[in-house]
Formats: sequence, structure tokens, C-alpha cells
Amino acid sequence: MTDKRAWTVWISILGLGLLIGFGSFVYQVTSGLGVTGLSNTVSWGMYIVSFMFLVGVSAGGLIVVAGAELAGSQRFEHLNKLAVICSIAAVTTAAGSILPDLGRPFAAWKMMVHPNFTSPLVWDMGVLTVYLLIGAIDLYILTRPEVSRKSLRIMAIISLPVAIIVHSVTAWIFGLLVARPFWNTPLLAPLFISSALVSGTALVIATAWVVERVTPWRAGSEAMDGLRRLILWFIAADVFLLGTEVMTTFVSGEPDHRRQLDILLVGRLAPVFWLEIIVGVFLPTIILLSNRVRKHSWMLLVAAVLLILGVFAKRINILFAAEFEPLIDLAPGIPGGRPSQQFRPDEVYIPTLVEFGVLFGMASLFFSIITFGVQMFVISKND
Amino acid sequence: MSETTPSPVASRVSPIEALSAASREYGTIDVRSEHPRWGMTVDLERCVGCWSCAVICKSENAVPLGLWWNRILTAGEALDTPHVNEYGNHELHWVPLACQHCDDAPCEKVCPTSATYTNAEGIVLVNQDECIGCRYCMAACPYGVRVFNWGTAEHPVPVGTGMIESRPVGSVEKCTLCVHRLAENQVPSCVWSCPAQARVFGDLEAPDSRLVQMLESRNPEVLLEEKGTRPKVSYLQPRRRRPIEPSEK
Amino acid sequence: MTSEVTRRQLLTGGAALTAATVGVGAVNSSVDRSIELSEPVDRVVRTTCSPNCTGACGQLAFVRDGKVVKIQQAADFPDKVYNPRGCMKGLSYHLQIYNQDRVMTPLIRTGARGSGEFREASWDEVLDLIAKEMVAIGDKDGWDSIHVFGQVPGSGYIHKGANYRACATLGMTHGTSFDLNGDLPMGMPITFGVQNAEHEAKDWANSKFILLIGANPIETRIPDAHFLFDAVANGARMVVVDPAFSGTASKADTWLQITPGTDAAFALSLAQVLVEEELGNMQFMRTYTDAPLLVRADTGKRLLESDLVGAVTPDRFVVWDVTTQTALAIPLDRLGIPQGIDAALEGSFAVVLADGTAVRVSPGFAHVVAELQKWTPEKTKEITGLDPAMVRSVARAYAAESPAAIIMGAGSNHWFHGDLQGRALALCASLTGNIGKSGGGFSVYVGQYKVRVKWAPWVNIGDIKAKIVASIYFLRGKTPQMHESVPYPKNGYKALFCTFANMFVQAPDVNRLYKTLDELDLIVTVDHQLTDTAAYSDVVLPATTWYEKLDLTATPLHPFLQLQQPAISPVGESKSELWIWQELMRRIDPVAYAAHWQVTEEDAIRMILAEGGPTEGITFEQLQAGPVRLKVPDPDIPFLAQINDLVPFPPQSMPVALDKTQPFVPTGRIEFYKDFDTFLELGEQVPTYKPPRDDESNDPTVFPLRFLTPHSKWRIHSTYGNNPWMNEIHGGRPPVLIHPDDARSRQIKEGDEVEVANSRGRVVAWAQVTDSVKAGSVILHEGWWPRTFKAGKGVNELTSSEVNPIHEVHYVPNMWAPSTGWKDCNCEVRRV
Ligand SMILES: Nc1nc2c(c(=O)[nH]1)N[C@H]1C(S)=C(S)[C@@H](COP(=O)(O)OP(=O)(O)OC[C@H]3O[C@@H](n4cnc5c(=O)[nH]c(N)nc54)[C@H](O)[C@@H]3O)O[C@H]1N2
Ligand SMILES: Nc1nc2c(c(=O)[nH]1)N[C@H]1C(S)=C(S)[C@@H](COP(=O)(O)OP(=O)(O)OC[C@H]3O[C@@H](n4cnc5c(=O)[nH]c(N)nc54)[C@H](O)[C@@H]3O)O[C@H]1N2
Ligand code: SF4
Ligand code: SF4
Ligand code: SF4
Ligand code: SF4
Ligand code: SF4
Ligand SMILES: [Mo]
Repeated sequence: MTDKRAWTVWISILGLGLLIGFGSFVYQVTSGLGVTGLSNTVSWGMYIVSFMFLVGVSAGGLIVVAGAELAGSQRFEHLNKLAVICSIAAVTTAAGSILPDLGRPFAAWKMMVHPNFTSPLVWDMGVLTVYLLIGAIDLYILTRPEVSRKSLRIMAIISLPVAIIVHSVTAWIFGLLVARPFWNTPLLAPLFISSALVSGTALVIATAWVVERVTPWRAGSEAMDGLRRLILWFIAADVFLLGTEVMTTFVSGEPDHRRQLDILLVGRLAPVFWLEIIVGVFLPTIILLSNRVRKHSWMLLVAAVLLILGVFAKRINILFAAEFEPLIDLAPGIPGGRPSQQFRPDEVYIPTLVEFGVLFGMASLFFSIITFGVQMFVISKND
Repeated sequence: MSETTPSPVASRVSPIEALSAASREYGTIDVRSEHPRWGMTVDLERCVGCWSCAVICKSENAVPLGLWWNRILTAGEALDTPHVNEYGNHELHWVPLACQHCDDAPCEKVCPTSATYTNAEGIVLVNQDECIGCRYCMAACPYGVRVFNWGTAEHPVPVGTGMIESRPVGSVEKCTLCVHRLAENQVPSCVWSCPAQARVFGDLEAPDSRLVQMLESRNPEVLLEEKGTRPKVSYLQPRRRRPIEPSEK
Repeated sequence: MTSEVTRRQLLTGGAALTAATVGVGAVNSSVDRSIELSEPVDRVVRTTCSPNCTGACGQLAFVRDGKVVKIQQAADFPDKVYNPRGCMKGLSYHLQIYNQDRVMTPLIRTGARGSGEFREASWDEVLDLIAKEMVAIGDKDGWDSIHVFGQVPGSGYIHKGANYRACATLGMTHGTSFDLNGDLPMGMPITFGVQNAEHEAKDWANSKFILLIGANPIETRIPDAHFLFDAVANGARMVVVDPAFSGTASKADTWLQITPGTDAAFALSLAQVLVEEELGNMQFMRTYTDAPLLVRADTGKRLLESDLVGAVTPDRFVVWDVTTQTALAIPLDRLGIPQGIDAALEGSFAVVLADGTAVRVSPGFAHVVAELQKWTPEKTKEITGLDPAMVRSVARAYAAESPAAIIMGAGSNHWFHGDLQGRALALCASLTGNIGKSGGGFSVYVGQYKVRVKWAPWVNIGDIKAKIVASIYFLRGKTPQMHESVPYPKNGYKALFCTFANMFVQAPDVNRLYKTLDELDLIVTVDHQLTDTAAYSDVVLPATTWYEKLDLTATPLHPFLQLQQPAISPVGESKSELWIWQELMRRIDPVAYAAHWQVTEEDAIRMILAEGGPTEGITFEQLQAGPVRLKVPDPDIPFLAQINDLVPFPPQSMPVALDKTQPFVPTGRIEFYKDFDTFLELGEQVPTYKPPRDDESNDPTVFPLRFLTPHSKWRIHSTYGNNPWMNEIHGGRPPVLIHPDDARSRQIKEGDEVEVANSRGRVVAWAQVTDSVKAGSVILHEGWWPRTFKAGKGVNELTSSEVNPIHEVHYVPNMWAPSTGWKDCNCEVRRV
């Protein structure tokens, strides 16, 4: 550890975050979800965004490990453990994000005791568990004194399709709902996969970058550059899919689907949408492509962070574009008055402090897992 | 929890048994087959957008302030405000909206715990003990008729109605088609209370029921048919007007 | 309310954080159940919903733990077409029984009037105080200087009747409501000699054509609206004449967007077409109306038999027999024209009077026809804004279908010249012979006025009756032409006892009213809601609701007599109005108390039932079980004796004796020619059109918009204005409906804060820009509580209290008395 003070500060922030998160969660549980900005019309909010986002982010680790393994490339060898830890952190926190979203978190066990197998949420629960297991097994294999290539390969063969399924199933949670035309498109799953790849890889880049600065551990410039190239392909795929979606909607979309696109392009979500495009795609792409800019090594971190932000923005957009659109095109049908704010009836959503508190807790959990994971499995071995 | 009766409370005086003979007769279901499948239709020509059905639903089911199982959409610009149609004429009607009791109910499919289920009489219900409050069903329902218990329920009267089981904080609730009344052979409360007699309730399996005869003679439509949900609630569209044509001297 | 919730949440939150250390699971289970599993319902009690609405809907109160937990229609009317009867407001009255505005104890003002500062007091203290003050005022200025104002007696004969009984006992003057409310359709007494006369609502279903003008039953007669649809289902056509696209317009076959205040012009055009195209039923006109009666050209008065032959009794009216070319007197005691006489309806003839002078005479109808020539559809186009070709078609369709009904509403009646609109429409109904015919008629369902039982033994003390002063004179003082028989107090007014009314919000021209109030020594209000009227009073007495007391009620809309029955014991310390009067009497006049006031509600009801007539054979026990039909025809239609048996007009208007209203129509016929002096002076002897005038005090160039204040679907006047459920639905903020053109020229956008003002007052509310209103007018529904506005004391800051001299030609309170012209009001709207 290079700087003891920085370490203490970092650990304190994480501790505080966990505390705030837990406190907010307890407060929310005791008062009911009315303390959030959610309502009957916008009934899913930042917790679900966080869930979608984190599931996506988890892609990075396994893809890097498994992809490289299958491609027979040793380039990312150094990155393996770090990447897997990122994945585990993401999957764990993703599952954790669901808990505060439940109205009755203490009844969550019912979902395991008598699951309804027609529910994509149940499927997702299943694949996420498998995914977490794979991560754990990967980590186990990688931390053996003698890394078994064969086991890794087998794991890779299993984990690649599982990764695809995880993101598809997560997409289907939304995509299979006939109620919401914006989600109800076959492209949603590919879109989830592509942006998962972008954000997952970006997370590995960012984490590696930071760990390289604060510990003796090194990923190696070749590996980092490899990630850079990889991510550019992912961005391309992602932009292509998004473009297709926008184009088809424009040219031949159903009217209500088009209206939802309008919410994004010019409507209430336009700021977030254009943030997603400009800050989340355009800027980082330039950074990653331009040799001049890339000279500054910290630019890589900037690009990675921007990409992550961009995907986060995209999750926000995907969720709310559908929720902000009235389901039935008749006006207004929703009681206009509001005796108490918690029953807010219109398609408005402003997250509250409580939600930020819980999200802060989630973030802290996420970084705690990474921090201690890196501490335990990555640096200690390197040292 | 049994299929059609709410959990019995010892020494309960049924609010239905307490009715006078005349009142009770008014609300008696016309005919029911051996295996009824309940349905409803709303005559939009008769509906005056008065929300009586919505308000009585709140009383009947102790729906807290801020939540509505039943509400009235305006086919117009805003609440009670007409829109101008393609011929330049003003138009306005109302569409009362509660759970459509879909035969193919998306809410039921997505419910991770099977808390949402369809009972033997075709009514889509939420088992409050099983609901974990994930609100997936709310995202899945194309009609937006489900509501969530966001917090400690506020009630205008500091006592429950004693007419329906309770719902915990954090669970989802919605129209039950007044399943507790059906057990006593009484129409749902919204049907009882519609002053325009715009709502017709009955057994879809009973050919002699007023409902079935109405549906056969009046060309009903369902909401968002394209979603494939096959609702058991339908709507009879407003009639064609017979405007008076201007005539010269 | 919101802050309360947050605070509570914060508290629970704080507690929870502490508890979290103990174990989150435990905390969760303790809040898990938001609604406690309920105990059984104790009982179900039938009562009658009785706001100032006229619905008189039977309701069931479901009571648990002594609280009303649900209200639902009783749906037990023996005439099943009336079931279920009841609207969303009635179904949410338990929110009124238990709301934050409920007056729980007697209150005595501590701050300045209107400051809203009160202290709670005991009943003994307030009753002593009121009794003492009343006696002081009574002794000094006379008991008649105490004005007792209570709305619409028909919706509670016992407790509202107690007000009259109290006035009869003490000599206080009772006010009026039917006329102050502008609901008294003055066209009715003028034309038919009755207070009002309408078909029971179910008879709408028998119509083949329904013309609704200025009436919005889809929103203001919600329990009866379906009878319109029943008619339509039977093939009837529905035409709605309204400047706004009302709920009722949305159901119409044809909507005529008329310029406000011009209904008379429209109706005259209809009549003109009926006459010109010979679509009228002249036999009806000859038989039942004054059409054939001759009018002297020199005086404008009717030609009397005595004019021709010198003093005779009875002095009969005269027609022109076309066959013999002579003027012949016809009988007074029977309608119709005697066999053998061919009475002229047009032409001008010379007759020689008893004194030898020759005068020209012409049948009344000739005057009507001459007037109609001025109002052809083409000529009224500019006034009404209606296409003449359309007006013609409507006239033809109306004449072609039989029976055809005209339903006139407050939108037509609530004008300074509302009487002229009514007279013109009555003319149409008579011309087509639709009077006294099921499915036809000319009905005005505005207000709850009707005393349908013989309540004299209850409201009078023997022969002593309450003195009644039209409340408009209380509000604005005497007018120059006030009828001499108005028992206006010689020392003016010193006190107001206001009950069953939210007078200071709902009366017209309230800024003027507040000046009157400043002069008073005592203001007492009895209400169960702390309305702005109550808040401005010196003493507020907590009243019971119709879920807490026993009373007897009826309505013009349906012929069923019903009880209000107590379902719960009085909330807080509230008491019934009868109890309040009894206690005051005991303190003021123990002798009278002992002699006349030891009566229970049930005694009083039995007393009334025993009088018979409409209540013949009806027992208290029957009423306890459910509604009982009064002894009236089925369907209940007015003028049957006149039309079928040729009994002269008018039928009796209860509760006054026939001889009070008979002078309204001296000919004993339906009168379209009025020869009272004032009518002649003002040129209103036959139905005509006069433009809106708004007191002539709001120059239309400065205040160019018509200020219309119709009744809101979401309230009964101000009642339910604070109902949480209703507020959830409509949002709780008064919208000012303004046409896009008017909004544009004033730079007003949707949702803007706007000031609506004229020379009398102003309110600040929020614009709703919609072309459902007619350009040149704005709509702001009456009844919003003042506190819902951004500023102002409510819509009636702007309205006019001007008195029409025609309404002062006779004086029978609530029957021929000044009727308020709410909608006759100009304003300007600007963005603030
Ligand atoms: N929901 C509800 N129901 C009520 C009441 C209530 O407050 N709320 N009050 C009860 C009482 S006491 C009364 S008196 C009645 C009154 O009820 P209605 O007779 O229906 O009277 P308003 O609502 O005043 O006006 C009816 C229509 O007249 C239109 N109008 C306005 N000006 C004109 C005009 O110049 N010409 C024409 N042709 N139309 C015009 C308005 O736009 C409105 O649509 O309602 C009774 N029922
Ligand atoms: N601008 C404008 N103003 C209008 C009209 C309009 O069209 N335009 N319409 C007018 C018409 S038609 C009418 S009828 C009037 C109505 O005027 P009001 O009858 O004065 O109006 P409400 O608001 O119904 O007030 C009734 C009051 O009686 C109280 N109350 C109810 N039950 C009881 C009881 O049992 N005992 C006692 N003591 N009090 C009780 C209620 O709480 C309420 O405060 O308004 C008139 N005002
Ligand atoms: S309307 Fe919605 S809640 Fe009701 S059954 Fe259909 S999908 Fe489910
Ligand atoms: S909220 Fe309850 S009913 Fe709805 S899907 Fe989740 S568990 Fe099922
Ligand atoms: S059927 Fe019952 S629960 Fe459903 S909307 Fe009607 S009153 Fe409410
Ligand atoms: S009660 Fe009847 S008329 Fe009123 S809104 Fe409901 S369905 Fe329509
Ligand atoms: S408010 Fe009027 S219409 Fe509504 S229930 Fe009461 S009496 Fe009937
Ligand atoms: Mo009225």
C-alpha cells in the first residue's frame, strides 16, 4: 500500500457508504417505498436501473477471461483475476439492488420456495446464480497455485453462452412485456449484450488502471491496449444496434413506439439521451481512437469512466422511456390530486435522498468487494 | 385462502345479509351457470364519467387515499375536456378502467412467486401473503390498473370496512371483481353503484345472462386488443349520433 | 397533511434506525399490515342523501365500531327504474362526516370577524349567549330584525321546518332560497301561475325529442341522467343548447353553441318558425292559453266583460267569435271555448265599450305573433350566433316528434331576464301542445324548492305563520319597487341566523353582502363544516349530518317520500337543528317552549303525515322501511287536471293557498300576454328578448367577457369542495375555462395564474385553455371554497344582485320574488 492515508480515506468512504446505504434501506423498509420517488405509473426506478446496469457491467470479467481463453490468447492473463473479481462484485451488487426494490424484501424467499417458472425474473434469478457460481469457480481456478488451463477452458466454454443468456434474460425481463412497446423489441437482448460488453470491459480497464496506480500490480500495456481495441469493437456493435433500433422505429415504427423515441430524442429524457450519445459514446471513442489524446495515459481512465457513465445513462433511458409513456392513450384517467406525495399519480419520477442513500450503499458494496477482492486475490499474489 | 370467499372472521355480520330485501334483490346476480366465468361490460354511451364506480370501489375495498383500483379515463384532451375530431366536431366520452381480468394475463405470467393467479371463476387475484412487492406485474400490465401499497395506508375513516382482507405495506393490489361479494351472489360494488346503469356484470358461461345477451347484440370491443390479453371486461362503444341537419326555409 | 405524513415517516424512520440494531426483521413484521383485518359490520342504516342538490337519493350507511365506513345506494325504490340513485359525492359523504373541517364543538369568536379565531365553548354557554343577544335585539329593534336564512326546505321538512316554526314563535323573519338561488324560474309563475312544475325524471324516458337548454343533467342530475339514454334508446333525439360543450352536450345528437344570455332569442325563433310554418297546435292555444282573449289597443289591458256591459260579476274575459263577428265573454271556471264559438287568434277588431267609445281589440296571440316577426331565425342569428337553417330544422324536428320535452336549466334561468327565456320556451311547449303530456312538457329542474307535504301543522303555530322576507332584501336592502307586502323589518336587520347554507360564499354579490354583515350585531351559523360562512360568524354551532338525525324529505325529481335516519350518534358535540331551537326557546320564551316545542322529530313527522293529501295513508313505519310514493299521478306530470278536465290554471303551489298564486294568472289560463302595469311599462307583455345587462355597471368594453358560473360535477355548490376523494380526482385547483382566442389575445397560457375581475370584485385562479367554451365567455364553476383560490372570496365576488322589477309585481316568497341572475355578469381576465 503506497499511501496509508488515501487507503484510510477510501476505506472510510466505503464504510460510511455501507452505513448510509443500510440506514436508508432500514428507513425505507420501515416506512414503505413511499419514501422513494416511485409511483404507480413509474413503479420501477433507480434500483432497477442499478440492477440492469450492474448485470451489464458484470459481463466484462467473464468475457475477458473466457474470450481470451477461447481465442487462445495469453495477452490478458494478468488481468484475469481482476476481471473476475469485477464480475463477482457486479453480479452480487446487481442481485443486491433488487432487494431494496422489493416492497416486502423479507418475503423474498418465497420466490425461491415456490418460483413461478413463467416469470423472466425467476429465470434471471437462476442464470445470475449460475453466473455468480461460474465467477466463483473461475476465481477458485485462477487462485490455485497451479492454474489449470483445462479447467479454465471448460469454464470458458460454459461461461460464454451463460453470459449471453444472462444478458438476454435480463433484457427479456423488459423485452417480453407486451405492455411496453419500447421494450417489447427483439433488439433489446442484443442491445443489452453489446452495452454490457462495453461497460464490462470499461470497468475492467478502469479498475486495472487504478490498481496499477495504487499498487505494485501491473496489467501490462499490451493487455491494456488490447482492451482498448476490444472495446472499440464493442462500441461499434452497440452503436450499430442502437442506430438500427432508432432507424426502424423512425421508418416503420408503431406510433406509440415512435412517441417513446420522441421522449428520448426531444422529450423529457433528451438530456440523458444526448449525454449517453455524446459523453458516453462520441467523446470516449475519440479519446480511444486518437493517438494524440491517448498519449496521456489518464485519458484511458477518462474514456473508460465516460463509457460506463454512458451505459448507465442508457439504462436510465431504457427504463424510463417506457415508463414515462402513458399506457393507454386517453387523458388523463389518473386522479389529479395528491393527498400525499407518496401516491404521486403522473408519469413523473424524481429519485429521493433515500434512494440515493441506498444507491450509495450499493456502490460502496460494489467497490468494497472489488477492493477487498483485489487486496486478497490480486495484490497479495503479486507481492 | 379459498378461491372465492375472503377469510371468514368469527361472528361476522355480513353487510350483505344486513340489507333489506329490496336492496338485496337489486344486487342479486341474474343467473349463474354451474362453472361461472365472470365478466363485465361497460356501455360507454351511458357512462357519464361520474366516478361513482371508482369511489364505491374505494369504500368497498378500503382502498387507501391516493390509490384507485378503478378510475375513469377521458377520451378527450384532459379530464372532462373534449377533443375535436377530424370533422371539426367536439367529442368526449369516458372509459372506466379497472382490472380487465385477462384470460391471458401478463401480470400473472411474470409474477415470480405466483402471488398473482387466476381463480376457478376466471378472476385474476393477488394472494397478499405471497406478494413480495417486486412490481413486475405493474410493469407487465398493459392497462396500468395495479397499484402498490407505498406506505402506511391513509384512510378517511379510521376504521376498515370489514368487507375485504387486508393488504400489507409493500404489496400490490387491484380490482378483485369484488370476489367477496360474488360468494354471496351479489354483483360487484361498482356495478351496483353505477347511477347510469352503464355496467353489466354476469356469467359469461350463462347464455341467459343479461351480460351474454348484451355482448351478443351490441358488438363489444376490448381495450388494447392487439396485446393479446383477452380481457373479460369489454366496452360497448358510444352510439352513432343522429345530428339534425340544417335546412333552408 | 403532507408535512404531517413526512413528520410521521421521519419519526418512524428514527425509531427504525434504533431498532435496526435489534433486528430488521422484527421491525418489518410490525409494520407489515397496512390495513387491519376487520371486525364485522355492526349494522346497515337507510337514510337519504340531502345536500342542496335535489337528488334525494336513498343511501345505506354501513356502520362499524360506531363509524360510517361505507355509503352505498339503497337501490330500494319500489319504482325500480329509479335504482340505484346516487352519485359519487353522496357515496363519499363519510369523508365529510369525518374531515378536518368538521365542527366538533360550539365555537365563539375571539378575534375580529373573519379572523377565524374562535374558542371552543359549551352548549350551555353559547345557547345562553345567543338567547341573551337575541332577546336584546328583539326587545330593542324588534324580532323581525333577525333574519333566519336556511336553504331549500324540501330537503328536510322537520329540521328546516323548525326554522319556520321558530320564526312563527318569536316573530323573526325567515329568508328565502329558491329565489335568492336564482332557481325560481320566474317564467313559470308568469306563464302558468305556479311556482314551478316539472315532470318526474323517469318521464324523460317517454320522450321522442328532448331539447335541453342551459341544463346539464349529465353533471348536475347524475342519478337521473340515464333516463335521457333510455329515451335515446327508444329512438328519441337529444338536442343540447349550451355555450359550452358540457357533459350533456357530449351525449347529444346536436349541440348548439349559443351565445350566453340569448336563449330567449333562440326560443322566439323556434316559436316563429312553428307559427310561420303552421306547425303549431292552435287548438291547444285556443283551449288552454290566453291566445284568444282580446286585448284593448288603447290601454294594452285585456278587454273585460265589464268594459262592454258595465259592472258584472264574475267579470269575464272576452274572445272574438269569427262566425258572428262579435265579442263574447267566456266562462272563467272552465278552460276551453264554449261550443259554437270560433274564437279568433289573429286580426284586429273594433268593439264599442259600455261608455260608448269604440276601441280596437285584438286577440292576445296576435300580439305574440307580431312580436315573433322580430325574431325570425335570420334576425336572431347575430344575437345567438346560431345558423338560421339549423334553428329551423330544430323547430321542425321539435314539432314533428311527439311527445317532445323541453328541459330548461340554470344556464338559461340564471339571468336577469331569465323569466323572458322561460316564457319564450313555455310558448314553444304550448304551441306544440306538449303541456300536461307524458314525455313532453316544459320542465325546469333547478333547485330544491318543493314542499310536497302539508307541513302547516309543523311550521306554523296554529294560525301564526313565519314572516318571510326575500333574502335578496336582506342582502342589499329595500329596492324602490319592492312589493308593499314584503314584511321588511322597520328597523332594518340586526342579526343573522344562518343554517343549512354557506351563504357568504354562495350568495350573489358577496362584497355587498359583507357590508350588510358589518351592520349586524350577531351572526350565528349552524353547520357541520367550518365553511367560510361559519368562519365569519360570531358563533358557530355544530350541526349533525343526515347520517346523525331523523328527518323527512322529498324532491321534485322523483315522487318518493323518504326519511333521513340516524346511523351513528352525533359526531363530536354536534346537535340537531330542532334541538338547538328547542334549547333556545327554553331560554327565550319558556311559555312558548312548553306549549309548542316539546316535540320530537317523530312527532313532527307523524303530525305532517296525518294531514293527508299527498301523504294520505303513508305511515311512519312504512317510511322507516324505505321510500314510499306520494299520492300523485304516475308518471307524475303537472297540469293534468287542467289539460284533461279543463280546470283553470293555476294548480296549487304548496305550501301556499291557491288564492295567493291565482292572481299571477288572472285569466286562469296559460298566459303569454301579461297586462300588469310593470310588464306594459317595460314592454314585456309578450315573450320577447332583451340582452344581458349585468346591472349596467360593468361596461362590456372594459369587461368584455361573460362570466359563467355553472354548477360543478364534483361538488354540490360548496359541499364536497373539501372532499379528499373528489380532490384527488379533479386536482383541487379552480380552473378558469377560457377560449384559445380569448387566451391568445391576453397572452394567457394553460395553467397560468389569472385574475378574473369586474367592478364588483375579483378572484385569482388558474387558466385552462379550451375551445369547449364559447369565445367571449369564461367558465369558472361556482362552489369552490375561497381557500382554493390564489386570492379572493370566491366566484360571487363578481356576481350581481340586481333585482328585476318584473319579479316585484307580486310577492309570494319563493314563488313570485326576485330571482338572481348569476350568469348575467361581465368580467375581464388577465394574467398575473
Ligand atoms: N353536481 C352538482 N349537481 C347539482 C348542483 C351542484 O352544485 N353540483 N346543484 C343543484 C342545484 S341547486 C341546481 S340549481 C342545479 C343547476 O344545474 P343546471 O340546471 O344544470 O345549471 P348550471 O350547471 O348552472 O348550468 C347548466 C349549463 O348551462 C350552461 N349555460 C351557461 N350560460 C348559458 C346560457 O346563457 N344559455 C344556455 N343555453 N346555457 C348556458 C352552462 O354552460 C352549463 O353547462 O343543479 C343541481 N345539481
Ligand atoms: N356564482 C354562482 N353562485 C351560485 C350559483 C351559481 O350558479 N353561480 N348557484 C346558486 C344556487 S342554484 C344555489 S341552490 C345556491 C346554494 O347555496 P348553498 O345551499 O348555501 O350551498 P352549499 O354549499 O350547498 O351549502 C350548504 C351548507 O349546508 C351545510 N349543511 C349540510 N347539511 C346540513 C345540516 O344538516 N344542517 C346544517 N345546519 N347545515 C348543513 C353544508 O355543510 C353547507 O355548508 O348557490 C347559489 N350560488
Ligand atoms: S388488466 Fe392488468 S392486472 Fe388485470 S389481469 Fe390484465 S394484466 Fe393483469
Ligand atoms: S408485485 Fe407481487 S403480485 Fe406483482 S409480480 Fe411481484 S410478487 Fe407478483
Ligand atoms: S369489481 Fe369491485 S374491486 Fe373491481 S373495480 Fe368494481 S368495485 Fe372495485
Ligand atoms: S359509475 Fe357508471 S357512469 Fe359513472 S363513471 Fe362509473 S361506469 Fe361511468
Ligand atoms: S349528492 Fe345529490 S345526486 Fe349525489 S347522492 Fe346525494 S342527493 Fe344524490
Ligand atoms: Mo340551486
